[in-house]
Amino acid sequence: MAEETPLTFEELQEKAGKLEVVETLDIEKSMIRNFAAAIGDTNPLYNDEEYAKGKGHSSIIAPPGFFTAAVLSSAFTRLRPQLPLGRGVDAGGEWDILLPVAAGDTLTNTFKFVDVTQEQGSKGMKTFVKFETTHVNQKGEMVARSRSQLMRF
Amino acid sequence: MPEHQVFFEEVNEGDEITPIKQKITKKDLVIYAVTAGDLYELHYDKDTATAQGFKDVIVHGRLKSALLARVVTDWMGNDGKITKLTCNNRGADFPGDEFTVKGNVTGKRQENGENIVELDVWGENPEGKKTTFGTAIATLPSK
Repeated sequence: MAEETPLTFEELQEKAGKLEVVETLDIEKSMIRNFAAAIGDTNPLYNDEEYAKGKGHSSIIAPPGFFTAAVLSSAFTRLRPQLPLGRGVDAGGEWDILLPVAAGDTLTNTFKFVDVTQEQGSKGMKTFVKFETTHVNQKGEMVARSRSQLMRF
Repeated sequence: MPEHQVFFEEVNEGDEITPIKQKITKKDLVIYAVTAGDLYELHYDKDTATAQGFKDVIVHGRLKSALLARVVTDWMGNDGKITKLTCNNRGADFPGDEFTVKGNVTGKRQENGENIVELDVWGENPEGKKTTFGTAIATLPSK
C-alpha cells in the first residue's frame, strides 16, 4: 500500500470545520442480513421480515451496531481521500440512535471534520482529529448522529 | 431465539446482564469489512498487520462496538431500544480468539414518560483483559 503524505497539524487546523462529504445510501435487506451475520446476531428483527412487520416496522431493521459501523458513521473512511492522516487509531465514539432504520429506507449521511487538538502524551505529542456525522431518512427525520475521534501517531 | 423481554421494574442498579461469547473468525472480518465498507487492510492482510507490529490482523474496533450493542439487545429483548452507545478501544483483539462481552446496570430513571436504564459494557480478550470499553442508554417497557 502506498503511504499517503499526512497533513501537518497546521494544515489540519486550516481544514477543520470546512471539510464535509454528503452521500445518499439505500438500505438493502442483504446489507442488514450480512451485517447481522458478521456480528453473530440471529435476532429476527434483522432477519425475518414478517417478524419485523409484527413489531411495527416496514421491513427488517438495522441492528444498533449498524450505526457505529463505517457503512453509516465512519467519517474517517469517507473523508480520508481529502484528509490524509497517516497512521491512526480509533480513539472512541458516541452514537445517538434516534429512530429505527429499515430496509428500503434511503439515508442522507453527512460526514464532517470538525476539529483537531493536540496534547502532550508520554511518548510525544498526540493529535486528535474529531468528526461528526448526521443521518437523515427519506422523510427528513434524523435517525442517528455521531461524534468520534481518531488519534494519530 | 426464544422471545423474552426485560421490563423496567425488574431491573436494579448493579445488575449484571447476560454475557455473550463470540469467537470472531477471519471470515467474519471479511464480511464485516465489505458490509460496513471498512476496507482498511489491517483487518484482513497479515503483512499490513505485522508491518504495524501486530501478530495478526486485528478485529475492527467498530465490529466490537456492534457487539457491545448486541450484549444489551440480547439481554433486554426486542421491545427495548438502545438510544445511545459509546465505545472506546484500548487494545487489539485477534480473530480466532473468543471475545467476551459483559455489562452491568449503572442506573435507572424515568424521564418524559420513558423508562431509561444506563449500562456499562465492555469486551474482554481470552486472558480476561478488558480491551474495549463502552456505555449504553436504553429504554425499556413497563409491565
